[in-house]
Amino acid sequence: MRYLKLFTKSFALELSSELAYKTNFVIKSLSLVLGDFISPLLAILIYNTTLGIPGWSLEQFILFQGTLILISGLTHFLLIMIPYKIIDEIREGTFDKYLIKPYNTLLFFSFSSVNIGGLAETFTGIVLVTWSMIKLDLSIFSFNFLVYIFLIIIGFLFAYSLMVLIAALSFLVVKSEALVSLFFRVLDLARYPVQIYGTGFRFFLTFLVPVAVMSTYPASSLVFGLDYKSVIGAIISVSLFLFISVYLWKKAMMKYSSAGG
Amino acid sequence: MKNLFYRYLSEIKAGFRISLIYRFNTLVHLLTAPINLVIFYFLWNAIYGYTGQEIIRGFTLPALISYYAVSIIISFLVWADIDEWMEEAVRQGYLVTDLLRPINYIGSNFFFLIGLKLLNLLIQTIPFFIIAVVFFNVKIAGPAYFLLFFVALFMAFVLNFFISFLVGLTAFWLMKIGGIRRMRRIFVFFLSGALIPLSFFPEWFQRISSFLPFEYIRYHVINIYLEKYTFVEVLRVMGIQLVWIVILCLLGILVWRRAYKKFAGAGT
Repeated sequence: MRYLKLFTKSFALELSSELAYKTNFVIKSLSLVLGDFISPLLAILIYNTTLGIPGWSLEQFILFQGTLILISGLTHFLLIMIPYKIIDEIREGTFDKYLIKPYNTLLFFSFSSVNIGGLAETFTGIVLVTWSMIKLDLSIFSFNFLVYIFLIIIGFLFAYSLMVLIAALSFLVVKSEALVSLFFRVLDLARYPVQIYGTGFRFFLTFLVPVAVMSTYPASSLVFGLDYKSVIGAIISVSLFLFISVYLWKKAMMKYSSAGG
Repeated sequence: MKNLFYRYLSEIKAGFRISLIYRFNTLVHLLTAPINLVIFYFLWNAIYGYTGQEIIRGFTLPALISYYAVSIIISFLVWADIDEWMEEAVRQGYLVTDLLRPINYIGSNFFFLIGLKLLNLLIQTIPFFIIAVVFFNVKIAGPAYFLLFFVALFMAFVLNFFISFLVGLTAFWLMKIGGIRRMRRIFVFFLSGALIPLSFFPEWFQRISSFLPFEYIRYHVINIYLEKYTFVEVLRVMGIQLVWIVILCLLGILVWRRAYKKFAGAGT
């Protein structure tokens, strides 16, 4: 409950700081929406000039992209600032003060790191998904849609565990920004349905670094129906990822020496 | 004149030294850039296989992969974040010290950026080029086109510099320009043909785009590398690049003078 209060407080603070520069706030939100419309635009260009991605029609592919934008919007809204904030605090040597707060340190950062810009993206994602669901005549009152929502949560949890992992590693490695950018490159692999990759690569993206849970699984379960095997595989690998990340975080906390630098 | 030369040379050196400090980041970029190429490779491999055409919009699959590889190289060398530096300098107020120096502000930024790119060329571009040639079968352009490509690449660099500089100037009025900077990045990225060659766009769009400077930053430069143009066409591209540079440079100087008068150095 108090974490929820923490979250609403951080949200209000962040909003008022963004609104201090109103012109920038408006242009920034616009640019975020515009940036997200680039990928459906690319899809339209591809489908106008070619037969497109095997197995996916234009509307289905836009549903896929909308799902990815939705999940990454949520990630930018709620998660992305977690590692950046922690990295800053470590570098400034001010991380210690969070250790003596009457909160769990990880949960404190998880609930107080808000980035308003992500809301614009989440919204764009919802618009794209809604549009393509109407086009494809898909109902929200269906089992598939329920599975879809569930898988979006799984995808979000995967993003969360990645952020925790980055945060934990930033205690152990000095140049952690580079790590962040490496992770985002790997996430780029989720931009297209995993079916386009070879078998070995597909295995890698499903089980080892399950970025496919952020786009392919939710979208294809909504469009093509549930594939039990992949869903169970995804759940197992995401839980494993989450477990490892939190474990590494605890390790990092024990090692933390407050040296700054 | 000699004095001026030494001043700018020192800017280049300063940029080079700064980039040495960030060499780790540069190397990470080198390692992650091929991931992009891998994604494009798989995507278009699937699309070409499915569509069953050998040439789509003037590109065979290998040519398209080369397109993306050269596009990444252009990103390495042309990319400029002067608008970000300018925003910082205006907001923090340390632009004052920049202005007190006996050196032209635009010129010093330009040469500083060149200094930054020098190391990129050595430890990022050349290794990436080798990776692209060895693993992605990117073909090496003939010597004449290679040379022309470098000239066009340099002009693209100057062109992009002025676009970024103009965007940076808005900071004098708006203070916080993260949104506009992002817009600039999206426009330059997409309209220069970084995601897909411009020949995939509809006819009418290509016509509009040809009146904008963006495609001269990337699309045509890549096509020169891919030897898609005759020498006359190459000269035409370079001529248009030059015209855009002159227009944007004049505009930049004009707006800069106004911004200079406006600037109070108060910071935020």
